[in-house]
Amino acid sequence: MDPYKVLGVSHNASDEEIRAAHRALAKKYHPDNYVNNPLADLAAEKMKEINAAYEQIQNERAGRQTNSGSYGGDYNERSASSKYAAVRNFIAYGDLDAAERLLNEQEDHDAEWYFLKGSVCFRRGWMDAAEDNFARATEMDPSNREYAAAYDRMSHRRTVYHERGGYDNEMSFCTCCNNLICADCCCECMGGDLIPCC
Amino acid sequence: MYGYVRPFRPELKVREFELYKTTYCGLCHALKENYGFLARFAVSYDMTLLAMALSKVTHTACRHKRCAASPFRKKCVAASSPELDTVAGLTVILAWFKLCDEVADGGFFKALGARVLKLLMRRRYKKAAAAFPEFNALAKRELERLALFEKNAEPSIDAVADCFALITAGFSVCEEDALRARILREIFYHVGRAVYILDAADDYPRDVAKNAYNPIHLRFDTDSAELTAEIKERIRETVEQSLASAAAAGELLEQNEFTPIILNILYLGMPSVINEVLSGKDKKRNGRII
Repeated sequence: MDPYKVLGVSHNASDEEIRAAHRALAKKYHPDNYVNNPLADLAAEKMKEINAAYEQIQNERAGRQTNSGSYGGDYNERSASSKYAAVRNFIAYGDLDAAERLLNEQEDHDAEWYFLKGSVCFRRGWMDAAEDNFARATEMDPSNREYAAAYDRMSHRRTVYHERGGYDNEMSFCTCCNNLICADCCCECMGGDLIPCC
Repeated sequence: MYGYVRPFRPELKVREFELYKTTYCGLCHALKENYGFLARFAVSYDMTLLAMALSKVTHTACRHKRCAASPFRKKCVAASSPELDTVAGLTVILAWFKLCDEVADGGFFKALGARVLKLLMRRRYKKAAAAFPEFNALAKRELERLALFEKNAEPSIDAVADCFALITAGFSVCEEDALRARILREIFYHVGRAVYILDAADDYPRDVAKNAYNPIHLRFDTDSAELTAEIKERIRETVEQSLASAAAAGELLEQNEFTPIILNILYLGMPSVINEVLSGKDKKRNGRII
């Protein structure tokens, strides 16, 4: 494995460029972006690969063993009430039908029920129902951080999606043109002429 | 149902756009070579995404062929491959079911065109169905489930979209690599869901006027003849949730020449389609190449 290729940098990239590349990739494949996602294990593999590549480059360059400050989450599983422990297990293993079956057997629907129902829906890709269920769970138990986090994650992932689309980051043609016109004005003030026809 | 999955041209490199067109043309030729001249009309931008996602070549080779749609210039067409043949087969199967749907929905005269096409396509459909029996059975099963939901006026937009999404997710059965198949399944489930919901949003005014089934109408329990601003926002939110999932999955695909185009479609192309649909501008461009 070529660690430079994994990070998408050239072999003579500066340390700062390598750090930036590692940061950007780690942000992309961070476990937080793949919570309750059917591909979470693949993302975790990718994180390991990225961290290993970064560590390898650092070791090569510095010639010493470093604690590379790799990103990546340890997850504190919230302690589950025994009532829903089986449901949580099924969700963790991706057996959504079993989880749903158990949930449907429950007569009364408390906040945790809505949260778990939301989790099942989210995992299935039923985003509309997931949002409704998470909202219900946070309404019924506003102090619970697990439910609040799940609900917040739904709006947060849209923000992340917009950012990755690079709407705000890309230099648009307008910005480029504006910059050139400004540069031309400054140049003319100094007695030169950057763009003769402006 | 077609033409919603397309790239955002302004942010594609010229080289990438050329490759995209080459693949589209490759699909068109694969349809002709495997299923005859008539099958070419089934080509779409949407299935071009699948052609790119399934491609195994490291570098797409070009062959210069005449184009039936623009006969004066030869086009650069992707060399034939088993993957393009596969996508051609899946395209024919979906086109067939779409024709069945049009025949069932329309009156005798309105659906006449569809009936004639169906007659002509029947043998080709049988050939594709024989080549891809698993997908054919899945599509048939899910469309029957969808018809049942429509009949029973199902209010959950997720439940109905699920039927269509499972069909598009089913494209992944054609990927041999198990890991890759999981990624494609996730991408295409969510692309399918997004397309279904956008199509429903597009059809909303027409369906409400005709008192026909529309899942958005039922989900938001509204009497409005047009989509209100609030409903449009809810639609945008839920479609973006799916696109976020599709993009997160797309990031896990190995890097190849198609990656920037695929990510362009998922991050930029489809949001621009959302804008067009919700502003009422996009009126079924039918997937013709730009």
